[in-house]
This record gives sequence, structure tokens and C-alpha cells, in this order.
Amino acid sequence: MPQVEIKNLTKIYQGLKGDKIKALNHINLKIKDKAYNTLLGPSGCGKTSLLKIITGLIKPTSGKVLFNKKDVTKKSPQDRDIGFVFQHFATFPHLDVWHNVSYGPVIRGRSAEEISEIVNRNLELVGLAQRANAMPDELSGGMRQRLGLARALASQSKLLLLDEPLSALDAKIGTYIRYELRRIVKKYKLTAIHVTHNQDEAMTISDNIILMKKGQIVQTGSPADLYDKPKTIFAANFMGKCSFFKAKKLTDHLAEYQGVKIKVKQKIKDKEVILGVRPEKVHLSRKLNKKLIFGKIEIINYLGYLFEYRINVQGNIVKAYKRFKEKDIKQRYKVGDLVSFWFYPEDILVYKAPKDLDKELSLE
Amino acid sequence: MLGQIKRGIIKHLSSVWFVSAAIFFIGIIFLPAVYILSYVLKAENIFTADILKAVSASFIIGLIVVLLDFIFGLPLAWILTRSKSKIVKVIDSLVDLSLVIPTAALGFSVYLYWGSKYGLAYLLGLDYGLFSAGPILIILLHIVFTLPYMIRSIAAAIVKIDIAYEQAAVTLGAKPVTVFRTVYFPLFKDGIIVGSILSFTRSLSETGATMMVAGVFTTAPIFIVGLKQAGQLPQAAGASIIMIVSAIVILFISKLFLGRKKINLEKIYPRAADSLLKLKIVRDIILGLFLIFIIFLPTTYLIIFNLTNLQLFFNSLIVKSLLISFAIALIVTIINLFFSAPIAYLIAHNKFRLGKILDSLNEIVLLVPTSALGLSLVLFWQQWLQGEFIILILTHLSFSFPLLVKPLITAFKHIPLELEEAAYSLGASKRKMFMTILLPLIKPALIAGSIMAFMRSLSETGATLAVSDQIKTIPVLIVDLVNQGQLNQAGFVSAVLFVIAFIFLLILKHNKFSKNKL
Repeated sequence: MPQVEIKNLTKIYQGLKGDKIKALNHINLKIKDKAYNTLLGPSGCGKTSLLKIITGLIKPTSGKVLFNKKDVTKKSPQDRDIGFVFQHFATFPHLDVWHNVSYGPVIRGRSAEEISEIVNRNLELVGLAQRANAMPDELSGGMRQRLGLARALASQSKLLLLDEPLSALDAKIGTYIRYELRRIVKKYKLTAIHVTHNQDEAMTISDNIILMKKGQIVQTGSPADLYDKPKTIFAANFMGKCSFFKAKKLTDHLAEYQGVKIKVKQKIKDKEVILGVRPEKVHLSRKLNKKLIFGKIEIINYLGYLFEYRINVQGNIVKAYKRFKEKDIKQRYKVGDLVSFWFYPEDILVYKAPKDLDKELSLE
Repeated sequence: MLGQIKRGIIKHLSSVWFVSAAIFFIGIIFLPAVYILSYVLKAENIFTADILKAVSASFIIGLIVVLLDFIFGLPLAWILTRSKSKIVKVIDSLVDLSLVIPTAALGFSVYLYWGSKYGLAYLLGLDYGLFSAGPILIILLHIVFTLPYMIRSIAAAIVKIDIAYEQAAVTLGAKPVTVFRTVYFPLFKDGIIVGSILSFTRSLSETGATMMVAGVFTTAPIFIVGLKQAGQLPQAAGASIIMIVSAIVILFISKLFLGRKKINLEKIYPRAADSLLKLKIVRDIILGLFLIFIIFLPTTYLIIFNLTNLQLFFNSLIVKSLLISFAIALIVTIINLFFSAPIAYLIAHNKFRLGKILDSLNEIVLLVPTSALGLSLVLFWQQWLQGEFIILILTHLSFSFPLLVKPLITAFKHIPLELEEAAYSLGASKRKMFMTILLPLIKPALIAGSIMAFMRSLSETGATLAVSDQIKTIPVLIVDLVNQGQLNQAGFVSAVLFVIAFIFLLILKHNKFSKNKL
């Protein structure tokens, strides 16, 4: 069981015009053992670079990769004992399904009986036993990725690395394979490191999410940790939806926004703060009075199980969810309606106001 | 101890392979090919008026041929790639025929068809050939063997273009001809340039077939061969130097053009060209007639000719030439096979930043006219080596190696990096990865390239004439026989080459990778 640890890792790429691009900036990280880990972040955040450095496919500029406390930074991938699943499958086009899966065991010089046992077991596991003689180009995208998974698992490694394995698949198939991946990792007590830019995917599949931005780790924790207690404005915004208000501190637990006083459970430290609220924590009402913030409904998204309203509060867009019962159909809000809203103090996230909120929220 | 040494050797085997391939390429292929340039310093008065006349004749013919290739090649390439009809598919495979057929045999066939009373004249009931030997016949001949280069280069570019571009342009209101002009033409400009260079240099370089249809007219390669055989080395060297330098200049000018990818969108005038569309049927008929009468019939006329002359004789001369030609082609192809993959890999992946340099060197050798190349090689190797046969093999290595390397470069470039990474992640070493993933994947290109190189060696005339005095390869023999007026014997030998070419063409067409096992 390799315990994976990253120490003070930096990766600098040489740009085309001789400029230097810092893909990873002094990363320190312990991968949770026997758990499903996800490297999550917007494109260009360095997550794939980090994964490929763990694999050994690219070498870091400085820093170390430790497997079981041993430095493997200089080891090539073939000496690291890993299973790797690729974004675009990378199934060998000249080998049939069976020989794609047997590639690893054959290279590692296992006996014929062992090879046949390993291949058959893994093809069974991913549901491709019937297609053992098919060529990769005869398979659908979903099947090819199962083949990629079976091939990686056949390396018998306990460390499974996955580089955006679901992003080239249809959404529905991708969602289904999520559960398959998690089931297999849990069944064989593997340590998985899965790279994705999809927050939804990370939430459903992971035990442990490592959220990254611009070559740095923003926050690490369980999906619930990251959703309920995001440490930064970026984390709050990236992990699901969130509306932000620029407010002023009145007392330790009281802030003011547009002349309305807002009670907050978290202690307010700074004079200028950003308050964040998730849409399901925003309570709407038709009552209009000076103790409530109000705005005009601009956009209505019908999500089936509920409505998402986008409310314009003097240029600031606030997102709110609301569910209506069938009998209350006449009370539904329309575009242009004036509505007010309020929140419970414990539902409000408090952050120090940054110099530039848009820059903080941007994905690049 | 012994085991350790053995393991060490195996471990470094691939590096030894790569290094020896690089040495082979520089020392055996490239340097001898351009060695003749050093003659500029040695000899005096090597540029005479005769040389300039022959060289300019070659250039003018080349330009006319390229222009005609372009005019007919563009619409043909378009139809061949975009039409789904079965007849077109058959025509498609026939286009490559004149690529693999030895030019000497081709030249003879074209001569019979256009220039003799047995050809088109016979069909028309005339008693004399339509064209006498000279520039017109040379142009007609050169179109036959250069047009496939133009068609294939443009077709390759067309295939690469996403059909979504066309759909996007149509949804934006562009009519078909406008789509062609504003979307496709700029996008496959590169294909046209590549096709033009290949056609032009091929036309500049061809010797054997041209000799048969030239009469008293002289092109640069004929001139070089003639001077060499007359023993006038300095003048032959002068003409060779001009041809080699112009090949290098052409290469670098075209690289400049190919580098620019900007497309000028200001010149989108719709209307006018669209009226051309109405002539669709006329256009198709014209193109069809062109293909049949200018390309296929001249190419295959030889077979028809032979069916009427069934007295086939084997004299010892023919058998000897056949054996020599096959031996050379086989040896050359095997040596080339061994060294081509590493060089192509170095070029495709730009290893050690050598890619661009090696690629340019490879292209220079590819573009240098073979008679000039042959002269250069003979001057280079004569210093150390005796024996025509060995020098002949070294010569054939030189001009066929780039032909094998080119398709391999493309094949390597098309293999996604992910496949290599996948092999590494599954525990493969560099050597294992190369043998189990890359080599099987480039196998089709390897087979195709070998066949091209083999046929080129079998059919080459100019370089062989420049090198050998005694040894006669098959195409040299054909040229001799035609010049001696022994048309029946020449016809028989040419027909043998035709049959071989047909067989190879069939292999080329069915050359896709089948299931592999480790």
C-alpha cells in the first residue's frame, strides 16, 4: 500500500516566448490512504501536472514525491507500480481488448496462468468479458474507458491514478461510471487519485477533495467540509453556487448591507467583509419592509424539483432556490416581481473583503 | 559476469541503434549526396552556355507541368475525396499506379501511345505518331508521373479539413464555389505547395523516361548523364551543382511559404465564381476524358501493345539485368528499413532539437535530381571504393532512404503521446514501448514506405546512368533497347516491371494493420 506524499513541489514550464509559467507552486500534500481522492480545480490550475508528476510522466522542477516515505521523484513510471487511466482512453489501437488488458502483466513477466486469471477477472469486473476479442475502435466511448480502467487495474497496483477519466464521455454514461469507479476502488481497498474540473463529480465520488487554484492547494477535506465550510471565497463559489454581499462590520456578530442589518453567527474580524450564502439558504418572501433586503426577479430557471430565481439587488445578482407545492401554483413569482429575502445567521459564510472580488472569483 | 555484459548490451541496444542510424544518415545518405558542391572550388569554367540552356529547359518544362498538374489535379483531388460513388473509388486506386510504375517503362508506354504509329495514331487510322520526340512529348510524359503527387498532396489536405467548416460556411450563406474558395482553398494551400514541389522536383529530376521521348532535345539530367558518359566531368559537375543548389533554394522558399498560416479574409467576393457551377456536367466529362486519355491509356498502353506482340524472349542480357535490379532494390530496402525508423522518430519528436535539421537534410536529398545525386556520389565514393556494384548500392540507398523516412515521420506524429505514456504506466521500458506500441503502429507506413523505396530503386535511371559504366539495371536496359529500336524486347521488359508494380500497388491498397499479439 503506497502512502503518497508530496513535499514542496514546484513545476515551471518554459513558455513559447521564453517566459516562465508556474504550474505548481510549492505544493505540500498527503494523499489519504485507501480512500478516493480527487484533485479538483478549474482548467490550468495544475492538477493534471501534479498527477503526471506523481505518475512520473513529467519531472518536477523542484520538490519530492514520496511513496511509503521513499523518494521516488527520479524513478521512471515503469518502476513506480501504478495504474493510470487516461482522459482519452489511450487504448492501444493495434491490440484487442484482451491483449490491451494483458499488456501490463505480460510486460511485468507474469506466468501465462496468472495473466489469464488477471485479465479475465478484470474484464469481468468492468463488464467487458463478452467483448474480449473486440478491437478498441469497435467499442463505444464508455466501453473504451472501462477497458482503460481494466488495463490499469490489471497492473495489480494498489494506487490508481485517473486523469479526467469521465470528461470525454456522455454526461449520463459518465455519471454511471462514477459509481462503478467508486465501487471498484472501495471493493479492492485501493488508493485513488482522480483529476477532474467537475465539482459535481468530485462531490459524488470522493472521500477526500483537494481543491486547487493557480498551482496551489486551496483547501483539502471531505465533500461536506468543502461545501459547508469553504475557507475562501473561491472555494465557496467553485463548490456549488453561492451569492456574495459586500458588507460593513457593525459589531462582532452584526453586519450591514444596503442599510439592512444582518445577524451572523461567525465572528466578524474585519471592517469590510464579504458575506456568502448558498441559494438553498436564501429565504424568499413577498413582504417588503426596511428590515429586509429586496430586489427584482430577473431570471427564472425551472430545474424540475425546484425553481432557481436570480434576483437583481442594485446590480448584484442573488441566487435563491424555492419549491412550490402544486396547489400554490398561483403564488409562483414572475419575472419583474419585487421580492425580499432573509437568512439564518448560521447559514452565512464570512470572508475578509478582497481588493478585487471578480478576480477572486475568476476561474483562471 | 557474462550475463551482466549481455544485459548491458541489450539495455543499450536501442541507443546503439539510434546513434548508428544517425551516423548512417549523415555519413552515407546526406554528405555524399551534396559532396559535389565542393567542386565549385576545384574546377574552373564549369558553367557553360550549353549547361544553362539545358537547365533552363528543365525549369520551363517543370513549371508548365506543375501548372497543368494544378489545373487538373485540384478538381480531381476534390472529386476523389468527396465523391462516394464506386467508380470514383476504382479511379482513386488507379491514380497511384503511375507512382509505382518504373518511369522507364512508363516512358516507353507513353512514347508508344503518343509518339509511335502503334499508339493513338493507330486507333485514329494514322500512319505516323501524333507527336514527334521533343518538348511536347516530355511534358505529356511528365504529367503522367507527377499528377499523382499533386492529387495525393491536395487530397491529403482535403481529408484533414473538418467538414464542420464547410457546414459553418454554408450556414453563413456561402454558395458551394464560394465555400471552396474562401474556406477550402486557403486551408489546403499547404497541400498545393507540397504537391507542386514534389511534382516540380520530380519533373526536374526524371531521366530514363525522358531520354526515350526527348529526341535531340536536352534537359538537365540528360545533359549530366551525357557529359558523364563522355568523360567531361567538370561540366557534368557544373550542371549538377546548379540542380542541387536550386533544389535547396526551392526547399527553403517553400518552407517560408508553408510557415505562414495567416488567411486573408478580405478577398471574399462571392457571385462571379458561382456561375461556374452550372457547367458541372461539362466539367465532369472533361475531367473524365482527361483522366482516361492523358493518364490511364498512356500508362497502360504498353500492356495492350504487348498482347499484340507475344513473342517473348529471354536473352541472357535481360535476365542478368533483372537479377541485378532486384538484388540492388532488395539490399537497399533492407538496409533502409533498419535505419529509417530511428531517424523518423528523431525527426517526428524533435529529439535533442535535431528534428528540424534532420528533416531539412532529408528533404534536400529527396529533392536533389537523381542524376546530379549520382554524380556526386560517384565522385565521393570513388576516392575510397572500387567496384561499381557497391557504389551503385550506396547511390540507391541515398535517394530511396528519404522516401521511406517521410511516411514514417507522419506515422510517428500521428501516434498520440498518451499511448506511449500508457505503456510506461503499465511498466514498459523505453525499448519495450518502442517495440510493442510504436513499431506495430507504424507498420503500415513501414510497408508502404518500403514498397515506394523498392520500386524507386528498381526504376531509377538517372543516378544509375551517372554511376555505372558496365552494370545495366532494368530501366537502363529499357532505355538502351528503345534507343536501339528493339521495341519488342523493351516492351517485354517493361511489361515485367508493370506486373510487379501492379502487385505492389495491390499490397499498398490492402495495407492496414491487422490484429496484433504481443
